[in-house]
Amino acid sequence: MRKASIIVGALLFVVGTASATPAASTKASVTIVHGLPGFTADIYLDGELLLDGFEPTSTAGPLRVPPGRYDVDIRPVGAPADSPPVLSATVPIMAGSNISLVAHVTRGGDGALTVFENTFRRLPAGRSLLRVRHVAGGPPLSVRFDGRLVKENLRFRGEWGTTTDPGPHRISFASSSANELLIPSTDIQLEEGVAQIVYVVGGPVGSGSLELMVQSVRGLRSAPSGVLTGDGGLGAEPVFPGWSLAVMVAAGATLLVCARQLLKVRVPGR
Amino acid sequence: MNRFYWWAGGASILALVTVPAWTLASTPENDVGSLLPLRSARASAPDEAVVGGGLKLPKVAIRPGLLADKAAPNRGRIPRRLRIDAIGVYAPIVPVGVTHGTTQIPADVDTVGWYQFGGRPGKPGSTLLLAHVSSGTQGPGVFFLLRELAPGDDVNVEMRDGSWAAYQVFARRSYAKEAVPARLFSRIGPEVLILVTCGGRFSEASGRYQDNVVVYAVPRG
Repeated sequence: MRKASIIVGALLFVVGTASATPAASTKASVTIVHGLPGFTADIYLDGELLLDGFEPTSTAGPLRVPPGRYDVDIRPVGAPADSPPVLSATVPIMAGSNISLVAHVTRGGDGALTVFENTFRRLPAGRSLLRVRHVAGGPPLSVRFDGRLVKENLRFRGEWGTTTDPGPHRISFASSSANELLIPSTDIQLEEGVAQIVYVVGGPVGSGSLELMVQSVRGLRSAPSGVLTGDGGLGAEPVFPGWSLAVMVAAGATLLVCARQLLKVRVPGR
Repeated sequence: MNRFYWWAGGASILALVTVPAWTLASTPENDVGSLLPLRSARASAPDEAVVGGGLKLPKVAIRPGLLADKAAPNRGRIPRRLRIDAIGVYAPIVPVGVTHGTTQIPADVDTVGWYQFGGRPGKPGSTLLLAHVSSGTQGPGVFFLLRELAPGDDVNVEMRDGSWAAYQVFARRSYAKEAVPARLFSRIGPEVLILVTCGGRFSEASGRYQDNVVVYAVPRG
């Protein structure tokens, strides 16, 4: 592979949304996604070999790293550590953030690295999140989800997402311009409290074949707000059970009778 | 004769004082048993590698990332029937989810709900079973006597595949509805079976009970 152009699109790097996942931690989570077809890579982080023989369509991580600026170098598998990298980038990583570092092709068929921020809010109980990322170079895609056209112009390096019910769903992709089906309807299983990220990789759109990769982001669950298991009050705990009440009533009655008898005796002439 | 009335009157007064006091003192406790079995040795994060200060690179898990290669996660067996001999429960179980932010409860008071987004028998976390204590129209529910379960009682769950999982009660707790612990819904941590119904005082105004009665059980053996 010839020396590729270097594009680091720090997409969605929103300052102030430091906490990507609700986990209270200053370390950041980094997941590496390999969507560059036909290129087995060695991945270096700050000059150290992190991933040896990283195959296309694999993912690695999440790796927990202290915040800071990291040099990422990508070389062909087995290339010497001091050889010029095929791709390299300096990636700023903020405290507590959760990012995906995606290697993919550009419109022109070169390799590129793009950073996506996985900033997801905690999901309501019983819901799942789907996020779609177009990293296959080339023209926009249209997205069909469960048979409905949900996004018409998903641009290269753009995202689309929805919160939906857990369980089986179907997703397909077509080219926006020609309306040609590029990825036929595919099953996807969504889990409660989990964000499922789908990457459209391969390409570029129009010349290479496309594939779907996935990454899950966990830790977004919420507990339901309560358990309402009764009405009518039948099972309510009485303050005094029946036998206790009966004894008290009997004792009260006896006391009355006794008091009357004693008072009767005291009043002579009646 | 007078003497008899003095004695009887005295005894009644004594009964009126001691019986209520004794009843209040001997009302079954809301909380029995220890929750120690819920503590896991350590909350584990199996798929996270940690980089130290000097950037010593760990082994990072590489996994296939193609959607086509992902099988639906095998999260274990699905419960079908609940059996608790101690309180005469033998009832069908149906999966339930979330509605308006709270857990769904089967409308039929003789049916138990299984919170399908929590744990499953044989897997980490809480297998959560919910049922009515009572209904205004249908009378007592399948968990009417849940608050009488005590540590040591047996609870058995039959799965859809016909196999059984055996549990033993180790604790019972009563929580205000707003203060039910999130642990009930967990998919991580030690495996426990959790039975929940309503209890405590009943508010005529809201038509609801104030508390949840929660019974905890661990797998036998």
